[in-house]
Amino acid sequence: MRVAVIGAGVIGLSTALCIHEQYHGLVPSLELEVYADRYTPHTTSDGAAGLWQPYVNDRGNLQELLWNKETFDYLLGHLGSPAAKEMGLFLISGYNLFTQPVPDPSWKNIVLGFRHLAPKELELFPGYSYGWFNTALMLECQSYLPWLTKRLTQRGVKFFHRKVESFQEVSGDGVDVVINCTGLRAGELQPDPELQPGRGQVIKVLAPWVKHFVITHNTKSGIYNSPYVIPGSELTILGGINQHGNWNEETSAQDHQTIWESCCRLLPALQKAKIVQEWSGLRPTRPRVRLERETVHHHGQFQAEVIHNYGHGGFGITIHWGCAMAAARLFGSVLQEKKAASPPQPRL
Amino acid sequence: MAAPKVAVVGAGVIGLSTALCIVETCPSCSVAVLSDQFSPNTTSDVAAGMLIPHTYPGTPIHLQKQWFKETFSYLFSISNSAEASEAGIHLISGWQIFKNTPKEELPFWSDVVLGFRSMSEAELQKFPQHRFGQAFTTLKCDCPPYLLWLEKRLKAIGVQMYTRKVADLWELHSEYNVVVNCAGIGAHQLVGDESLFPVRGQVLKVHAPWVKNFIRDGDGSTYIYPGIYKVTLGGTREKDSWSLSPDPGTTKDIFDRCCSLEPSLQGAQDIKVKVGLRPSRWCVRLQREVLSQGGAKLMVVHNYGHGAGGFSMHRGTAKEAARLVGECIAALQGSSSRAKL
Repeated sequence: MRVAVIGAGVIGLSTALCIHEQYHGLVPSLELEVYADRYTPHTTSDGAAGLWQPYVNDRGNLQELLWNKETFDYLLGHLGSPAAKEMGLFLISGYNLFTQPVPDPSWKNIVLGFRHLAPKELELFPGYSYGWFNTALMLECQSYLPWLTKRLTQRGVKFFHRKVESFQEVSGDGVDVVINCTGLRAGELQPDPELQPGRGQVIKVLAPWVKHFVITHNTKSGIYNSPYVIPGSELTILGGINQHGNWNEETSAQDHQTIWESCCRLLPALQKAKIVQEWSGLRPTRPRVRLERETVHHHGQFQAEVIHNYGHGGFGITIHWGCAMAAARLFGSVLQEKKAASPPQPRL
Repeated sequence: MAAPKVAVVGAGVIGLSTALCIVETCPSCSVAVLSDQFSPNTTSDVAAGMLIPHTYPGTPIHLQKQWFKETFSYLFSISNSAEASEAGIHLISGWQIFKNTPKEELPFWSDVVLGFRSMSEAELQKFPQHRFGQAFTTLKCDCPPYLLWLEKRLKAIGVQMYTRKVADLWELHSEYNVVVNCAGIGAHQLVGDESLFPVRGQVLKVHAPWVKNFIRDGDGSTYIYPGIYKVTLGGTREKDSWSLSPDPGTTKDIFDRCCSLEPSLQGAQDIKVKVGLRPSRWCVRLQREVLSQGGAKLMVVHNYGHGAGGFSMHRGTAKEAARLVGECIAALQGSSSRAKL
């Protein structure tokens, strides 16, 4: 049985690993292949800071909340393991700041030590009158994606460096199931007007004295359109741009100014930080994650059994493992049907 | 009386911060710092510089709390300014964990640090051998940066620094009006204080930049303190040991104890070992003294014996020492004007 995963960001690689881990023993003939035109460090995932944190407004989606929790618990379980450093996984504490009181987030009991900020703490952040403190996780994709790649390679998964132009291209080639983890460019395989870019830009600086993440929120400008500072293991990421509908992947000087000025105002200690890198990427934004099976037909003809897993916006890392497991369950149902459709041949 | 001449003996965190406070409160004073060691070779340079107080049995709690509060406020505002990185000061959050529930539920400093609370069950799961814990946010003063920053500020306001071993405070009586004794463990020999004793501490300074939270065992024996560039792993508390040589067996023991609290430290790189002697005492010696020989007098202010709590108390004790220097100068000016009559 040949399975093709299209896309090698955090969603594609983790889904591939999850499927292989769960089904390789059950389906000895399972051959998993990954197709992508961009691999780490050139994927959208690589530009993300890697902080586990869902949006503060969960859009009323209980399913996504559960996937987020599954991801957090899965990662937390790996914290004490020798793999943690190689995975780019570590604990981090920090602040979420608001200009007015807001309801507690649905994920308050998933993270560790969630509490409201005391007045003395808010003194650190003039202009913000309300906030939260909690301990969460960082999962740096520049380490995690290579770690996933290594695990997959050890399992015999094959990687192909090419852009897939249609589902038919791989299914016509003998692939039984296609896992569509193409992120923002899913629309090129199958039009999806609900999928839009949420353009982001970040400045990566050397500021190892910053030990906390600081994320500000502005209900008027929307999520991630307000300054944030996230310390990684080597560099600290400054951001605060989320432009809906902007497909431009190039960095903008104006956005650079906005990020730099607003982050230095937020954390004056950043003024002496040395700027190392600039990056811009497109969050694959969608009202909800598309995670479902589809039997794709073309002119009435069966083309491919597809499992879609894309549209994770600015919370791909946060939700990835829950989605990978859900995709793996869908894969299981495909297997089930194939087994029912073709009973085993009698052996003589 | 011409501009009073003040000598501060000692250039660790106590000496330098005291010199700064003296200049701040007495701008007309001419202040000099005399020390045989400067950063990076002082006891302060070995310390992690965490603002977690050590309790002195012989000092009233309200006074310790005042000193800590003054120190915390002072550093808090620097940490939130453009100077923070140069001064080496940054906020840090983490956990103090206990195998056995501590005698006192709330330490005296719990409302000075930020966000102090008991750890949740979920947080304690990270430490299966510990049954109770406290989470809070405090400040850390990295050395050498903090000492170098103090030195820079002192030089900018005209304070001279001299590398000089002072064998006896009296040797300064002809050059200075007031001597401030911030010699730390050196006071044992300098003023013959038998009640001052070393508590030897060995630490490792390692490269592990993914460690962002501090972890401290409440018994004080094991701790992980992330600094700007290096994480300090500790430690030991060996009373009356004067040895400054690192012990390899101790190094392994510290590393193992810290790895059991934070397994990812197995991947730490560039491990350096350091040793410091905490200048320990029943209480901080913070008092005036007048030395006299023949008809000559020398005003002395002592500010030493901070043990494990030097960083936590430095600004508060420096301010008090500066106030005592002010008293000395007032006394000198009073007696010199009387002499003029």
